[in-house]
Amino acid sequence: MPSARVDKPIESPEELREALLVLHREHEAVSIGAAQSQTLLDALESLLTIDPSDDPFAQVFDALRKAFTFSQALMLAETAGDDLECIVAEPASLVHTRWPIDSQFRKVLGGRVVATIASTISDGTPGPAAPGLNSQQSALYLPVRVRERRGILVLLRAPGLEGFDRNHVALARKCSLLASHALATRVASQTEAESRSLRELTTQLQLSEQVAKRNADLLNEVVNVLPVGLTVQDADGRLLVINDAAAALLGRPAAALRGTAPHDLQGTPELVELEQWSHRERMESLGQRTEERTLTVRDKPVTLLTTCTAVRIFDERLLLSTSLDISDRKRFEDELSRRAFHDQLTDLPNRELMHELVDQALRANARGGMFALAFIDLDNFKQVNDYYSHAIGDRLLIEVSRRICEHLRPGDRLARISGDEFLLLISPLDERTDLPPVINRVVDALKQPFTIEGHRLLTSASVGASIFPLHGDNYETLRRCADSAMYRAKRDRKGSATYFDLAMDTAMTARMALEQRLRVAIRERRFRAAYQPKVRISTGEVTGFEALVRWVDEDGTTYLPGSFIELAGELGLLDDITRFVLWDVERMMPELDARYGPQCSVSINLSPRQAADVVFMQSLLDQLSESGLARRCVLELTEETLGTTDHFQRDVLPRLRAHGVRVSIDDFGTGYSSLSTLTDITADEIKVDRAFITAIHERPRSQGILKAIESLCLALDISMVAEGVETAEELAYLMNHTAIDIVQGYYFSPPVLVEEIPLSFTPAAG
Amino acid sequence: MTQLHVHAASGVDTRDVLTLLDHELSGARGSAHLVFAFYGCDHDDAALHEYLSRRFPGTPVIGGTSSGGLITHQGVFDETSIGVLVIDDADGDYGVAAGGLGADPAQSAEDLLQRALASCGCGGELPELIWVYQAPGHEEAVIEGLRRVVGDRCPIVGGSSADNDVTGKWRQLGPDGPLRDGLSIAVLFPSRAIDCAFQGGYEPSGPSGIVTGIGYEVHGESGVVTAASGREILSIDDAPASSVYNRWIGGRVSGKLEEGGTILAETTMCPLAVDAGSVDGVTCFLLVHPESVRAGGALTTFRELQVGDRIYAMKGDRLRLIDRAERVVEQARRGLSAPRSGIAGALVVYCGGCKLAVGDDIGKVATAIANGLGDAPFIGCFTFGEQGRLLDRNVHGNLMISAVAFGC
Repeated sequence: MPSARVDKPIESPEELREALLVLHREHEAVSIGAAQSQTLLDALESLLTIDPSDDPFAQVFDALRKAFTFSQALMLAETAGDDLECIVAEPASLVHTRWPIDSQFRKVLGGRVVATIASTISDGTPGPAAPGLNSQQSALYLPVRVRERRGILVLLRAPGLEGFDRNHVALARKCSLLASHALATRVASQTEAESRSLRELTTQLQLSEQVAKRNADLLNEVVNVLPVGLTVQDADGRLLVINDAAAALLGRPAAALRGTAPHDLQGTPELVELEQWSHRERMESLGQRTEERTLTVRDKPVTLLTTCTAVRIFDERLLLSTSLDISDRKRFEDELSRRAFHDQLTDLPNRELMHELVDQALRANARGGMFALAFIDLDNFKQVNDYYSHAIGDRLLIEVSRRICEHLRPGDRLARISGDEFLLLISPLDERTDLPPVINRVVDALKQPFTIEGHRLLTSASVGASIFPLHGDNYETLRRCADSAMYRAKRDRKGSATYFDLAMDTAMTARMALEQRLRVAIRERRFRAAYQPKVRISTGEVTGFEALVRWVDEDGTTYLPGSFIELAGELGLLDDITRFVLWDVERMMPELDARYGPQCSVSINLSPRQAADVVFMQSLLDQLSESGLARRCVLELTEETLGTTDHFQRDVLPRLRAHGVRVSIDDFGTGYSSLSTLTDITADEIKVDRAFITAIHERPRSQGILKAIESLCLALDISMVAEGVETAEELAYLMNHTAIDIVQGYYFSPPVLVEEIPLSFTPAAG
Repeated sequence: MTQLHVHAASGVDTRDVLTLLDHELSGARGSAHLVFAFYGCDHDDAALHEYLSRRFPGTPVIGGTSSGGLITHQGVFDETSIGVLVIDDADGDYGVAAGGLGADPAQSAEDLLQRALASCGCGGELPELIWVYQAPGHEEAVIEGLRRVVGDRCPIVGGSSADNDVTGKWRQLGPDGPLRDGLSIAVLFPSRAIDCAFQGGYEPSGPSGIVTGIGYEVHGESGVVTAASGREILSIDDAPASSVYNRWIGGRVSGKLEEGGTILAETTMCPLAVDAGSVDGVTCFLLVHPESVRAGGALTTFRELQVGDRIYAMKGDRLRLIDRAERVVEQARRGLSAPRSGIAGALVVYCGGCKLAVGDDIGKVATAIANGLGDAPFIGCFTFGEQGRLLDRNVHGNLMISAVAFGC
C-alpha cells in the first residue's frame, strides 16, 4: 500500500506527525493483513493436508484461535427443518444442539459477518439444549457456505472479555471462506466416507439379498411342497401367499389365486359378504382357530380342516391358514358314525340313534307338545328263520322296514333295535287320536304278504305304543311302556296294537318292584337250592337229586322259580342264579354223599339261552371240573334248547361230553319236535313230562305215548325218568306196566332244602 | 453495491429550496437507505423533515444545522442551503434513533443506540460505524454512553450541530423530526467497506501547563460537587486560566479578559490541546477550542478537561486547514483497503471554527476534499465539535476534521 506524502518533503512537525500516523496505521494494517494472511494460509494448508479421518474444523478452530480470542467455537449447519444443528464444537458437549434460525442468523446465513455488542449472543440460543453457554458471551458469527449447504461458524468469548471489534469482523469475512472450505472438506470427507459406507452397505445388501433370495426360494419351495395348504392373507383378505397344495384344494392355479380377495370370488353377493365377514371374524380371533369347511371343487364336495392364526408381522396384520383335505377322513368318519348309529341290515337308525332321536324330541317338546314311541315286534319271526333260513329272515326284515317307512308321516323315524324289534318315533303328535291311524297303517301293512326269493311269506307284528308326556318323560320309560304294551298285544292278540294304559302301568310298576327286589336278592345271594330226589323204584334207593332254585327272602319267605325266573331271564340274571344253585350244590354235596353215597347225581336246570351261551357254559364246566362234580352232574335242558340252538350242538355239547357231564331232556313230550330231537341229540336221559304221568293209570292215550317213548329210549339206550309221580296209583302203574325204574315226584318228596332231606325216602302215602 | 448521491440547493425560503432539491433528487436513480441532511439554522427543518419523510418514506434520516453553509463535491453552499447525502445500499442495514439529551446524556446515548440498532433489525450487533449528530455541550458524555455499549470496537464519528453565530440556534434532525438539545444516532451496517479518519492540523507553539482548577456544578439533588472535569478551566498552573492562555497566545484575547466574551474567532489558529498519545515517540494532540473567557479569569472550551491535564498551546495556519481536509479524506479512503473497493463517496465533518478561520478560502477546502476523494461525491458540514477515532479511541475534539469514506 503506498503511503501518502512520502514523495514530498516534510516541512513541519505536524506533517511529520501525520506522516508517522499514516505510516503507523499503514504498517499496522499491513502487519495485521500479513498475520491474517499467514493465518489463513496456514489454516488452508493444514486443511489441504488433513487426514480424511480428521475433522477439518479442528484445524480451523486452531487457526482461528490465533487471530480471534474465543473460548468456544461451534459450527452450525442447516438442517432439513427450520433450525441449525451444531455439527462440530469445542467443547464437544455442544454437538447436536439445535439452534432456531432468528433474524440475526438469517442475516448471517445470507452472507454477513455479525459481531454482537451487547454481550448477548443470538436470540437463537438453544437454551437448556446448549449446556455451557452463557448469555453474556460476546459472539462472532461467520457465514459458511458450500454450494447449497449453509451454516454459521460461531466464536464465543468468555464472559467478561471485551467483545469482538470491527477488525475481527473484517478478518472474519476472510475466514468465512476458510470455514466454508473446511465445511466443504468435511462434507467431501463425509461424502467419501458415506460413499465407502454406501458401497459396503450395497455389497452387504447384495449378499443379504442373495441369501434372502435363496432363503426365500427355499422357503417358497418348502411352502410349495408342504402336504398341507398354506395361505397368508392381508387384513382385506387378499391372498399374499398361497402354496400349490392350497391352490389345488381350491381347484385353481396358485398364480391365478395370488392377489385375489373374497370379493373376487365368483358367487352370490351373499356368499361374498359371508366370506368377507368370516375373514374379519378370523382376523379378530385371538389365538388359534380351527374349523371345518366344505367347499365344492369341480362339482365335488371337499372338506377342509383349516387352522387360522391372526398374526402381526412388520406392523401388518395377517391371517395365516393351513388347510388339510380331510374329505376321505370325513367320509370315513361319517361312515363310522353311520355304522355306529345305523343298523347295517336295514340301514335304519339303531338303538343308540333312536335314543338320541327321542332325546331330541324330548327337548323339542319340553315346553309342551306330544309324541309317541311305538315298539314293533314281528310275530313268529323265529319260525321264519327256522323254516326258511336266516337269509330269508334278513330279507324279510329289510322288506318290513321298507314297508313300515312307506306308511310313516314325514318326520316320523323308524329304528331297528334288535332282531325283529323296531322302535317307531311318531313326532309330532298333535292329538292322541292321531296315533291309532298311524299305528294301524303299520299293523295293516305288515299283514300283507311279502314275496321274498319266490316265497310268499305271511307275517304280522305286535305293536305297543306309549305317549310323551303321558307315560314318561325319558327314553327308557317310554320304551319300557311301549315294550309292555307290545307284550300285552302279543299276549292278547298277535298282529294287533296296544296302547299303554293304567293297568299296564300298574303291572309294570309291580314288575319293576320285583326287579328291584330280585336285584337286591342277587346282590345279597338270597338263593338256595331245593333238592327233589330221584328214586329207583325197584330198590327204593335215591339215585340222585334235581336241584331247584329257591329265593329265600330276608323274612324267610321262600319264592318258587315261577314267580321270578322269567323276569330274571329277561333281566339277564339267570346266570348268577344258576351259579348260586351250583355253589349251593357244591356246598351240600358232602352232606348228600354222606347220606346217600357218592353215586348220587345232581341235576341242574339251564335255560335255552344259557345252553347256547358258550362262554357261560365254559365257565360252568370250569366250575364243575374244579369242584369234581362234572361226572355227577346232569344238565337238564328243554327240547327247545336242544332242537333249535346250533351253538349248543356244535360248540357246547362236545365240551359237556368231554367233561363227562350228562344231558337230560326235561319236560320231554311237550315240545314240537321231541322225536326229532332224539335223532339229533345223544341225550343221556329223558324226563317224561308230568303231563303224561298224571293219572296215567286212567289215561290210555298217555299210556300209549309213554310206551312209545319207553320203546324209543330203550332203542336209543337212554334212561327214563318219570316226573310228577304223586300218587300210589301212578307209581303202581309205572312199576307194573312200564320199564321205567326211576321216578321223581311228590309221592316221595317235594323239593326240600338240604337240611330237610330225610335219610331215606319212603312213599308219602300207601 | 453502495451508491452515494449528494444534492444541495440554496434559498432563503425553505420551501423553495426543497422544490429545487426535489428537482435534483427526481433525476437520481436508485433507492435510499439512509439520508443525511444538513442545513442552515434559519431553515424550517420541520418542513424539511416532512419533505424527506415524503420523499424517502421509511428511510432513516439524520442530520442537523450546519454553521455557515455546507460544502459538497460541487462546491460551497451558503448558510441558506440545504444539502442531502443519500446512501443507496440495498444489501446494508441502516438505522437511526433520535431524542433529547436529557439530564443524563450518556444514558440517553446508550438508549438511543439500542433503539437505532433495533430500528434496522440489528439489535445486539456491532455496527461498522456509529455516526452521531448532537447539540454541543455533552459530547464526552454521549461518547461515554455509546462506549458503554461498543467500547472502542467500532468508530464513533460525527459532529456537534452548529449555528451561524454561536447563539444557540443549532438543531438536530432525526427520524421523528428536528430536535433541540438532542442527539441523533445512526448505526451503519454497509454491505461494502467503510472507513474513517479524524485529524487536527495544529502544532504545539511551545507553552504548556497543568490544569489546576475546573469550574464545578452541583450534581443532581445530592449536591455533590464535581470539580474534577469540565469545560470551565479556572486555573492553569494555579494561575487564572484566561490570563495564562492569553499570555501563551501573545495577548490575542487581552481585550476580553476584564469583561469576558466569546473568543472563538480569535483562538481558531491558536487553540489548546491535550496529549492524546504518541506514535513512535511523536505526540498526537487532541485540540481544545477555547470558547470564551469569563470575567473571573476562567476559560471555557468546547471540550472537557480534567484537573491534572497538561494542556498545550497550539498554532495553525489557513493553508494547513485547507490542505488538512484533503489529507483526512485521503486517509479515510485508504482505509477502504479491499482491492475491489472503489469509493462511493464521503461524509465530512469540518470544524465550524476552522471554517471561520479559512474564510473565503472554504471553496479551496471543498476542492481539496474533492481531490482527495477522486471526484467521488461528498457532503461536508460545519460543526461546533467533532467526534472521531484517534489512536484507536473514540474521542471528541475541536477544530478537527472527521471523514467517513464509503466503499462501493
